[in-house]
Amino acid sequence: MFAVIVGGFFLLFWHFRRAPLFVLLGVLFISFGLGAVRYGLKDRKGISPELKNAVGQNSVLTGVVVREPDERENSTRLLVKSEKGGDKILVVAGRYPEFSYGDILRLEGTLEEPVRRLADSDFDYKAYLAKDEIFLEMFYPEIRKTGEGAGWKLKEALISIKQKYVQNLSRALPEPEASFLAGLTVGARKSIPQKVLDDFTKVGAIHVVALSGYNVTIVARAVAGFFGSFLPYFASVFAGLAGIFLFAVLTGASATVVRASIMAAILYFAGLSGRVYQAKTALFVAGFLMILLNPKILRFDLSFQLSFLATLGLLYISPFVEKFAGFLPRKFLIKESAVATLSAQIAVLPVLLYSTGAFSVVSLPANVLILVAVPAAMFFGFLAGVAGFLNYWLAAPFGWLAYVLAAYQLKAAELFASLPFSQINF
Amino acid sequence: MKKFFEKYKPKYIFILGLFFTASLAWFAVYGAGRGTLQVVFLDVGQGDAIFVETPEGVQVLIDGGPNKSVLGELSEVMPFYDRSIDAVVLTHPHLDHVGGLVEVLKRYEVGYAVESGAGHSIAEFAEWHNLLEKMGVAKVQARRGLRLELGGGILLDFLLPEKMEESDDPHKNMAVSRLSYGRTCFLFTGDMERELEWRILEDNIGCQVLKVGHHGSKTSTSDAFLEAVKPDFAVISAGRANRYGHPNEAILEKLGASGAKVFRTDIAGTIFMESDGKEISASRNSL
Repeated sequence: MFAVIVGGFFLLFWHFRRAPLFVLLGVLFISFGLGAVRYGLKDRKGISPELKNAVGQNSVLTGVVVREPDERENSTRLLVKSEKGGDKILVVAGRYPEFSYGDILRLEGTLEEPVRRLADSDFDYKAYLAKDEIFLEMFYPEIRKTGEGAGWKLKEALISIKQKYVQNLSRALPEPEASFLAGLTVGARKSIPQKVLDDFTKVGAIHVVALSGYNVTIVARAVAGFFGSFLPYFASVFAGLAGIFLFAVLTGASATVVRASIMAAILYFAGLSGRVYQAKTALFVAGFLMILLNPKILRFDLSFQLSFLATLGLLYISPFVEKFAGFLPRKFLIKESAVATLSAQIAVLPVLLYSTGAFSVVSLPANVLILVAVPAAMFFGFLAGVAGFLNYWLAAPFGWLAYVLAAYQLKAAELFASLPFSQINF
Repeated sequence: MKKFFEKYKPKYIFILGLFFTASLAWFAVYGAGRGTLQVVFLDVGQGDAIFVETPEGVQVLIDGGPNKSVLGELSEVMPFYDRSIDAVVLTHPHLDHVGGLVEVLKRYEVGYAVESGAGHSIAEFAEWHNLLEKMGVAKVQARRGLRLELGGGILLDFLLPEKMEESDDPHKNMAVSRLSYGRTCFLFTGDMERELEWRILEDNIGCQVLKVGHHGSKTSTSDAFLEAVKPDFAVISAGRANRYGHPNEAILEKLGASGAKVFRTDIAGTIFMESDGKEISASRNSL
């Protein structure tokens, strides 16, 4: 509030003295102040008065599963919106029985407030959950399903299509390749073994399976390329953007995916039209809107920070990097992925160092080698998953091609991660 | 564009032809099997999972470990295009044996499911029954005298359970089996405890390979039983630094003193064994 008043004074000064410095300072202070106010407003809501007294006690609640269940190796995380008080509760449950989005559950267990710090880590778990307005947890309650279909119908339908698609892949291909391809194509990374995720993190290529803007851009290009073969240019660009939208909904439209999709749309637009300037503006508008919607992501959501910075790097830094990359061959997108990786890496480096305390030395070669195979792996993996709706034997040949590519990518990540100097820790 | 294809056509056709021939050769190599009986003790952490493949390519999976980790292990021992397993055996419905089988049922086409008939209240076991129903897998009740003919003279004979006991403890109704090929045999004990061991002492249980009961816990492997089996190789399937303290020190000493060579999945990882019908060779690494 104070900052807004100070900013107002600066603008008042400007009214008398007409120096541009005052405008700049004025706008800076006002926006900082308004931002702080917005942030404060967001933070005020906590546990509802209805459930406040139930914390720490054995209680019985009814609620709806409002997010696709997050299946881990030995447990499943369910986000349940309580009927009473409307609180969102993070429920840690056993792997079976399985529940799905939109199920109505009766929970009997102890409501708990999340602990601020997890053991031996300085990660603020409580704030991390609070950014999504989750203030309550329940561990292994007794769960009984009392109904279903209480979610958003379109989302229910799309999630069930996606699950069937992932199941098609996992029936056609062995692990870990099947779940890797599921992660690559529709961002379903839930069943990828921790070891594989660790390897990809270590070589700085985790964005490949996290459904980053890069994957989404590939989808857009493929859709546009397909329609471009028989439609006019403008229509194919539009089809590409429409492809991004449908893809975002198909993959469950989680906040992360929506964000990646917006970034992808911006990059796609910049790449096609060459209007880098507009793309830069669009990036800032998109960033502004996302933060306005939920100001906490600016501080607590690593994936937002990284995807915003990476896009920033691709728009601002890549022209400089490209000048030094003249010697690289254009074949197989080697130059393109090297330039993109390097410029995105430079942009995210400070945040990455701060958040993980580790720097991946092999990131550049690993990314180039892995990214080279991404478009083809996505293409064949997607065909295999779709063909599986019709028949297993139709899916198998596509699956085998995708398998070879996926196996290569996994091997590359494993190899680079196993190098003793692959990562520098601070 | 047309010119381009005309110019390179012979070359590409040649390369494609080579690729095709090479793939066929590999298919043939895999399809023919390896000519020996393979028994692989998969490293699934704290739990049991044993993969058997006969020279004719018949595959049996005995238990599935606690979770999905069995899937990655199966990918190592099965070719990538092979999405079926002829039979799975569930020795008893504890989580560290049934958990991974649920994931296997979801992903592989399974011909037969052999189970001990013991009951247990965990959700994974309920899911196992759901999936058997849903996937249309034929259920077979394990009983003393049940024999699975795996082809090529290879037999999987069940020694237990003899009769179902009224008990809440799944260990009381264990499916115990003996895999034999020529002069060689393997004894798969699941989590069999001492009182069950005593019941099969009179059987033909002298085998070169013993899957040590209950992950090497002191509840199993009595002196009399070890004397009757007299294994050359003893395999313990347990997780690294597991919270149960498996395997037990005294059992390890006892096995060592009996002259058996001890293999542990918690130390060596996946353990490969093969039999040509005359003798068994074991290795820690892929054959």
